[in-house]
Order: sequence, then structure tokens, then C-alpha cells
Amino acid sequence: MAIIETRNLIYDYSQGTPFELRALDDVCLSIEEGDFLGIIGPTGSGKSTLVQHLNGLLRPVSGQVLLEGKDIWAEPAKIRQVRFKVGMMFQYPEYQLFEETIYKDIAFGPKNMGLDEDEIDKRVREAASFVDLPQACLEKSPYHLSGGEMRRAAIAGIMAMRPKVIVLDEPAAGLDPYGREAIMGQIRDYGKETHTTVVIVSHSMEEITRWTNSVLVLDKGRVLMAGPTEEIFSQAAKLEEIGLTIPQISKVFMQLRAQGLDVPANVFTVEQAEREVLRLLAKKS
Amino acid sequence: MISDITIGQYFPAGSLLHRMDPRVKIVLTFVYVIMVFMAQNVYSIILVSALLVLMTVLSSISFKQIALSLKPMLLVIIFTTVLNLFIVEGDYLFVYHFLHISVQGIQTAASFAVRFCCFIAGASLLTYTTSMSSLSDGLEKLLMPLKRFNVQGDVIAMIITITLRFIPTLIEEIEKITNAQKARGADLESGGFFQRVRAHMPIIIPLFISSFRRADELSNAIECRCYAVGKARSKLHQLRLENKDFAAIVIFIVLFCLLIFLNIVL
Amino acid sequence: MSGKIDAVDLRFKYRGQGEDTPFILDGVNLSVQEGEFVAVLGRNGCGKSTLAKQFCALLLPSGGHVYIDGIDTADEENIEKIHRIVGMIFQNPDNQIVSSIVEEDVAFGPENLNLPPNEIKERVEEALNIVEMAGYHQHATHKLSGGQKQRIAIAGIIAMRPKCIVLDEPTSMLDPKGRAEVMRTIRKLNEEVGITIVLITHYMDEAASAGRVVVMEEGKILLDGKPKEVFSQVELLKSVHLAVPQVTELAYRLRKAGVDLPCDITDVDECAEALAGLLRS
Repeated sequence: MAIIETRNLIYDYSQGTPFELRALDDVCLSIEEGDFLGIIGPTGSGKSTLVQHLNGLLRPVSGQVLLEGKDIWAEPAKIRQVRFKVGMMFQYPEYQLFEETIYKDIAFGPKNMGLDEDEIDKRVREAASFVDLPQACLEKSPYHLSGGEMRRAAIAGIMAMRPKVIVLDEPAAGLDPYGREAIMGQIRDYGKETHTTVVIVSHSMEEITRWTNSVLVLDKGRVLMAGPTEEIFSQAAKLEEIGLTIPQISKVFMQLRAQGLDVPANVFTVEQAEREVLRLLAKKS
Repeated sequence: MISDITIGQYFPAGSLLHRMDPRVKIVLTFVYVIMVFMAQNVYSIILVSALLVLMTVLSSISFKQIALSLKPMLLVIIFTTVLNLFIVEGDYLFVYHFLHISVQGIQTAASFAVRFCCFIAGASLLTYTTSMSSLSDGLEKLLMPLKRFNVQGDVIAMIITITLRFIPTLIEEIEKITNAQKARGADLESGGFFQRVRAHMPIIIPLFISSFRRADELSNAIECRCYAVGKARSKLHQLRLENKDFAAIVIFIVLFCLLIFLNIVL
Repeated sequence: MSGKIDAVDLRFKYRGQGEDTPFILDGVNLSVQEGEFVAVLGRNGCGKSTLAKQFCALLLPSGGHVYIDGIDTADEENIEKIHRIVGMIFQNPDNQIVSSIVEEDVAFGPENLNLPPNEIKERVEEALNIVEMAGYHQHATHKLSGGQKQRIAIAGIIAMRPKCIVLDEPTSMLDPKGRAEVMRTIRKLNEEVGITIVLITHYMDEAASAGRVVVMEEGKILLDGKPKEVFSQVELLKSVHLAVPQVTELAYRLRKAGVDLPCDITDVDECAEALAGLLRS
């Protein structure tokens, strides 16, 4: 079942001024429940604008945003409730931590939801464990934590709201390779265990191919392609055309195919490449 | 976009006023304001009004824009005018119970209204025709003689420059933090004044912290670029007085004397 | 003036950190020669940023010495001299820009050197040309993209004509386009202008384009050599939580499975060539 849909979504910046700019043009997307969707596109393609429509931070100029089949703007006064169901985290979220302790900061979301103390406590501890934040960390001030720990605390703050959908804008930005691997793994595990739909926006094609099972490609405010990750990355040439850098492995296999070798088009991770090469070598001998 | 807002809006153009030395503009604006306050009778008020019209014509700023500059102060002008109208005693034209309007009241109210408008318009002309960096340069040079009194004009100018540079950046940051907290269900709209102030703490605190971080990083960056307080430094754009600046100074001196003369004689 | 950097037995710990806290830099010996392009890699917390700050005298050694062109950084009198030889670019593009107008920001450094206005104008022109932003003189700095802001920051440093530039993760807050712009500029500075570059990064592809890679771990230097030499040590790099380029990883795994591949594959073309060779023969 589609948990979030947009129908003919149009959004213009600076509407009514001489600087009016169409940021999203007739965007139709449908995200299945439990999916791990990656949204990619060159800078300025409208990715951030699109995701801000999913939790009602931005209101479409025309078109609809549907959550579980219902238009989120049917009752504009209640739009805050949508944000508890569609949790969203922006880039470098550690800069938004403000409470005296990590515990209180993670509890911010649940508190805004009006939950009681016991429920809040349960959720805070649960969220902290999803991101491998030790219970001892909870009583520390956010400013006594490392960058990576602060990042995880911010993600926990979203998870504690137990949203149906979690939208993350470049969750691994600025982290070192190990940190990136760790955080993406935690997000994937969280999604699986809690049956939460995950949407990430990322510029790293390597990350997208490694973790997502569906991809939406935006270009100049329009949907260029949408579908299973494998399908999208089999069309690596199209992605390169709009200015995206495809994974090194994709490039290697594109070069091999250009040289006339019979290798499949849908290889873009190291694991796949290893399997393929060994298979082909075995076939030869 | 909201980050296009600049304080004391500047309209770039090539008019005479635009090309004048900022030091001269700052000082003459100051002199003009004094003249406005000194204008006590009809003739001197006409003088300062005419001077304003002349400056506007030489600035390529439209009269409509000058009128718009009065908008923020409209309420104050109206309020004080009405107050003057009813308070000043003298030859009564109109009496109703305890309310009265006198001839002198009308005169005082009119005089005040016109002079206040000249004052606001004159000051606005300064910011309309002078970019922030010019103003900062001008101010820095003007404050130089005060160095013996420990007023560090160059440091003040640096503070102004950096503050202005970061205003759009901070505005963007406020938007980002606000969105992030709204995404966690922060309710910034409902409730009374105090409730709303409290609701904005999740925005104010991160903004403060990040500003301190910015200041720290920026200070490292400028140190690496050999900046040191009190050290002699040159400027890319040198201020130089030209004929039009001297002419303006002379004209103002003449008009100032004329004003004093009008005040004494009439 | 050559911009040679020598770290001798460099130890560092912040003042106020107790006896038992480990040193952030723990006995670093490193020399960077004139004209080199050195990339410093390491996981978060290994000390690479602290090392960068030592090279431009923002931090001073707790033990050992740092010499810039033979000048000891600990000698307070030499601070300005050192800042003129070694420029630094930081991670956050916004927090390096001082003025609302591009031209004025690039002029800031030369103004601090008290140079005559004509020369400042010339240097600003030259610097903007090198970073390929000629014509942006009157542009508002806050309206620039991240990549453009970093290039303006670089222009501001170039205008001071340093011999060496240290860049502390200059691309980590940029999008791929901005990253490519900045890396292109850095390579140009090294290859065409001859400036010594020390690039702190955790992007493998950026390190791969350097002439020399230094890997740090827990305040010490672990590896120091050409990119091919360093990246071929896949196990060691993984043990310190670093990654290698995808193609290097692939070659490594295939070698482990018994396939005969060179052990120094670091880019796409080499990998494609090697695999093509295998699959054809």
C-alpha cells in the first residue's frame, strides 16, 4: 500500500513576484509502506523542496500530498499532527540540539505530541538504543558529545516520535567512511525492525545503491525516473547525462561493455561486481 | 527570498549623491538634521524643505520612494501632530467641551509634521544613496581623530562590516533551525506572548551556540589572514574628496548661515 | 621562501587537559617539500585537523617543533611571517568570509598586509582569475553557492601569495558539483601556480589525486607514501576505519579469491583495463 503519495504537485518559489521560480513541476510519486527510498538529483533539482512537502512544512501551489490516502492539507489547522507521522531530519541536525541533556532533547518530539512521562521515557530509551547511544550518554549535555554522537542523538529525536515515515536529508553528510556505514546501517535496521518507511536524500550514489531498494530521480523539478534501485542504476548513462556521478563500479562495467564484453548492465556495488567477475571467469574456464 | 533583506535599503545608481564621498554625506546629513530642528519659522521651514527636494532630485531616488520612507513613522507623525493640535493654547478656532484647536496649535502641528518628515526623509536619503560598506568606510575615517580617546574606529567599522555580512546568513540559519524544530512538532504560533517566547527557545539557543562557533572559526580565519587589532592596514578603495564634495560643503555652510539669519531676523 | 614544512617530534595536547588524557598529536615527524601535494587521511579524531592548525601556527606544539621554512612556529615574533607563507582554508565556507562583497573579501588579506591600493587591486584580479571567478567582483557573497564560497576563500588566501596552502576538509560540506570545482582549483594551484598543498580529507578519491598520502591514527603517522602504495594496504586501512576506492576494494577481494590482478589499482580506467584483459584472454 502506498503510504505517501503526491499527485500533480506543483510548487513555485517567490510566488507572485518577478522572481517566481517553478521548483516542482507536476511531481507524482508513490512510496510503498516499508520501502527504503532514495531521492537523487543534481543540485537545484528540487529534492529538498519535495521532501519538505511530505511533512507539511511547505504547502503545494497546486496538487495534493496524501498520507495513508488522506490529503494532509484537508484540515490545515491540524498540519502539526502530520509531522508526528512523517518525521523529518535535515542536514547537519546536530546544530539543532538545544536542551540541557540528550535525554530531554530526544524527548522534545514526544513531548510535543502530548505523551505522558512514562511513555516518553520508554520511547527515548528505545530510540537511543536504535542508534547505539549508551544510556550513560543520555544525561550528558549535547555539547559534551562528539559530532557523530550528536548526529545520532538528533536521529533518535525523530525516531522517538515513532513516525510511520522517516525522511532524512543527507543523514551521513560530513561523517568519515566508518561513521557513514554505521549510521546508514542503524537507519536500515530501524526501518526493518519497526516497519517504518525510510526516505533518504543523498548525493552519494554509492550510498544509494548500497542501502535503498527504490529510487526517485529528480531533474529540474520533474521526476525523471522512479523504480527499483537496480532498474534505475542499470540506466547509468542517463544518470550521468543529468550530471550525477555514478558509482565507480558502474563506470567500470560501462567501459567493459563499450569494449564489447558481455557483462550485465545492473552491476553497481562491489559485492555484485565481485560475484559477476568470478562467475564470468568460472564460465570461461 | 527573505535573505535579500538588507538594513537601511540601498538603491544602487550613478547619481551625484551616490558618487559623493561618504564622510561628507554622513556629516552633511547630520548638519541637515540640526538645520531641520533649528527651523523655527515659515521661511526656514521652506528652506529645509526646498533643500530636501533639491537633494532628492540630485539622487535619482523617486519622490514616491521618499514618501515610502515615512511609512514606518506614519503613526508617530500623526499621533504627535494631533497632540500638538489639541494641546497648544492661544487664539481658539474651535472649542468643544475640553477639546480646543488654536491657530498656534495648527501652526505648531504643521511645523512639527513637516520638520519630522524632512528629518526622516533626509536620513533615508543617506542610506538610499550610500552602500553599507561605503558608510562603514566613511564612519571609520571620521572616527579616526577619536583614537586618542580610545575610540577605535577601525574596529567599529570591522564589527559593522562583519555584522552586515552575516545578517543574511543568520536569517537563513533561523529558517533552517525553525524548520527543523517544526518538523519535531514545535508549536510556534499558539498561546499568549510568554508561551510563544518560550516556544522559540529551541530556535534561539541553537542560534546562539552556532553564532559562538562561527565567531570562533571566523577569528581563526582572519588571524590566518594576518588581521590584528590595532595594526595598520590599507584599503582597496581609498576615499578621496572631489569638487562635488567641496561644493556640497560650501552650499551647506551658506544655507546654514542663512538659516541662522532667518531665525534671528524673523 | 619555499614553503617547506617540517614537523619534528610534534606532540600536542590542549592546555588544561590532564596528565592522563592522551596526546592528540603523539610524536609526529613529517616533512612537506616545496611544490608537493600531500593528502592527509584519517578517521575522525585521529588528529589530522589539529596537525593542519599546527602547520599554520593557529596551535603551537606542546612538545617538539614545527618549522615553516626553517622558522619555528613557537616563536611569537614570527607569527605574521608564518601566516604569509602558509595560508589556511577551513571546512565551513561561510565562516571564512568577512565581507558582503566578493572583491572586498578577497582584498581583506592584502589590506592586512598594508599593501598599496594599486597592488591590492592587481592581486584581487589575479586571484579571482585563478579560481575562475573573474567578473564576480561586485557579487554578494551570501548569494554564492558552497563551491563558489570556498573558491572565494581560496582567492582571498592566494591574494596574499602564500607558498603553501593547508586545506582542512574543504569539500566536506559541499555538494558533488562544488566538490569538483574546489578540487579542480586545488589541482590547478599545485600544478600551474606551483603552490604546495596539504589537503586534509576523508574522501578517498580526493586523496587519490594527490602526489603523496599520509594516513594518521591516534595522533601518529601510520602510512606515508604514494597513493598506490597506501591504498594497496587495504587491510590496514580498514583496521583504522578508513575505506578505499570501490575499484581498489574490488581488486582486493578478487585477489583474495585467487584472481591475478595488480595490487595497486586506484582508478576506474586501470580497473576496467585489468578486468578486460582477464575476461578476454
